[in-house]
Amino acid sequence: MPEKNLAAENMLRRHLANPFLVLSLPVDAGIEQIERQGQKILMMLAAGMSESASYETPLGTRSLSEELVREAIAELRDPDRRLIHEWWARAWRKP
Amino acid sequence: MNIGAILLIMYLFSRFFKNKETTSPVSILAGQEISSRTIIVSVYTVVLFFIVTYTTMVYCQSYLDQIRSSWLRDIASFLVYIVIPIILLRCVPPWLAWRVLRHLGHSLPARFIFWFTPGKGKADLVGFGRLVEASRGHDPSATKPPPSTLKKRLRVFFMLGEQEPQGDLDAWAVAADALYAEISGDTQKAGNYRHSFNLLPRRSQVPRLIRIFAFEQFALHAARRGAWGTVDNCAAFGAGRSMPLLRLLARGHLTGSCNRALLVLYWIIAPCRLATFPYLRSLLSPQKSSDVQTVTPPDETFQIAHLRLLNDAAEGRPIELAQVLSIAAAWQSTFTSESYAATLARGMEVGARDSHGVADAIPEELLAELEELVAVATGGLPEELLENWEEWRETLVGTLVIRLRSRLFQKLEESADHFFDGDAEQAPPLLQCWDTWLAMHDATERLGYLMGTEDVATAWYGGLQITAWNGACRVSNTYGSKGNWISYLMFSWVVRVADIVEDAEAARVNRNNAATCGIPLYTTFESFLRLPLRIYKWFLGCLMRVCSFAWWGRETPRFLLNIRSALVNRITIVLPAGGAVVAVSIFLSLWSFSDLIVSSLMGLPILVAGIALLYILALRIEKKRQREGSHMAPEKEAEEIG
Repeated sequence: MPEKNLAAENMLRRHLANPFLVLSLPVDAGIEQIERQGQKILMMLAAGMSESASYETPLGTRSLSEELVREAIAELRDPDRRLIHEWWARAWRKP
Repeated sequence: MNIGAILLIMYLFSRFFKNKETTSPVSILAGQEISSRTIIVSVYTVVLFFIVTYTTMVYCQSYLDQIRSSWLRDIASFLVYIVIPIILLRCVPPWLAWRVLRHLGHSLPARFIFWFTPGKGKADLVGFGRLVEASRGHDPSATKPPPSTLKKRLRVFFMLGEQEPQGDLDAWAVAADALYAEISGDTQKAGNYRHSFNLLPRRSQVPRLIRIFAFEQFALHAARRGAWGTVDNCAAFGAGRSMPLLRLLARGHLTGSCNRALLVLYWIIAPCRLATFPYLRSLLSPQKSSDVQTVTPPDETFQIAHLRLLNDAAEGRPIELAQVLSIAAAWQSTFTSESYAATLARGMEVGARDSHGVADAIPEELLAELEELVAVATGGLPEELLENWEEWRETLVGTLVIRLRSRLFQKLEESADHFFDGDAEQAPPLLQCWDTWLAMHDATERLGYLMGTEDVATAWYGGLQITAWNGACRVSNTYGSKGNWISYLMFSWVVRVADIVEDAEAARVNRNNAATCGIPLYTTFESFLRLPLRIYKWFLGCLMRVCSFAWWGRETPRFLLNIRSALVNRITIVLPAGGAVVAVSIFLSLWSFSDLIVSSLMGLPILVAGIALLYILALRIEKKRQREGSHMAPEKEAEEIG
């Protein structure tokens, strides 16, 4: 197999773990909506519902975990971090 | 047979009671350095040749007699009785050693059988042993426990060689290390070592068995990894029956189409049929499992293309530099003053503490990603960018190219710092020298390829000249003959770069330095002539020795030595004289086969024409050698820069 590039892999993973993609929310979602969506996904994950086990990204579906959801909520609570994620999420939006 | 028995007894005596391990008592009689192995293998070859010829004669004579045309019968007889036995004697020992015994895991018997290959020297025997060890997953450069006395004696007896960690680093050793790196999973290192063979000048000869065995293994390992580009490169450099098949398999997997009939034919002819069968089947089956290329949807945005490139880079798939730069150019359109203001406004809406900092950090973050992509991308800079550089300088693409340039310089500087990082007392291992030199070489080549000759000249006069030149000299002077092969490549490369940057002095001195390494350069035809030349030189040496003993009963007088030297070293004399000897021998042997050529008096004009042709060829070779400076220079220390 060809040799993997760790730096590129980390960058890709960061983009595909964009909080707006993880929570399947639009970039203009308010903080209450974010919290509500996050809790909903966490509950669905805890209940073991199959539709909550993955999320859509520009490169296909990825598996979802509780850590990923909690991390996404925490990232969006910080306004500076949210601004960066918003910028990237706009770029990943499908035309 | 009696002569063979006598020689064998002499050989046994010389092995166990003489200090010299490779010199036979025959050398004393012949006045030449002839190893006992050469004598034994020669006797064995001649005896076996007659046995094979006699056997074929018994079985084939009746068939040959049925050929009506006498000249056709003669040619067929020559092929059956002379050519085929020679081919068999030459090809069977390495085939048996590599394809059968090594394959079954018997490395010592494999080396023993290889010992009987005619025309192979000690370097080949040791190198073959290393390659066998490497192919079985053992480090060919590792320190081995000292062998037992019996094993040591057997090794000395059969000249199987001691595998010291600080042994010679010749073509065999580099091939063995490349194979070991490939088997260990270090594909980058393996690729670097393989690349060493591409650095050799056109005329230099890599032993054919390396091209057959080692490159077949490289290609098969690369095929297992799915790296069909590497398979194609290996097949282009390799030799032997498997290479056409591997080349066709690689083309088939890369392009998705190939000539199926030819593929099956090559597969039948080639060795390693079991190993290559899955690849053949995958190409012949209706749904080909060729390398899945990333298919770009037509409506894909450049942002998604950016993500896809990151994905390809993460997976280790090749990405094109031009593609990365086109994406960078597209990103440029998103960094306008309006978009900057929009980010600030959005920052105020969400309550960001440092909207300016975020707005400034985003392009930097993007640049870092693109820089990572550019660093692993292949291919050159687009023509359009080079032609209109001033227009691009202030853009994202321009910044990226400038950063790439400084990264290339930095990489070159780091690799140059590591090259021969030691002094004569504490010199680094030879293989480490080669690793660090390859890194420096690659960095320079990449700089030249992407940024052009001017930047190479900047690096050259900024310190690369001294490092590359003096480092190569130190390797040559420290390791001597052990490092001849790699120091030759180092000097040749210095000459090449010096020619590019028009440093005439460096080119001249290093051309001489390269000649001191004593690596002979042959064309295929010249290498074909090597065996008769060696026999001719040996014959001449014997003649001189006999003359001097018969006439003076003491050492050969100087004038005879001078004559011998002229006859041996002047290629304009060697080739025609050698050719005449060979031609006369052939005519004498043909006498019994056919009356046609000799009786028709065609022999003399053919002989004269042949000698004239050889004389012209010799003149051409001598002129070419003088022009290229590739003659065998006397041993002397390489000349460093002042």
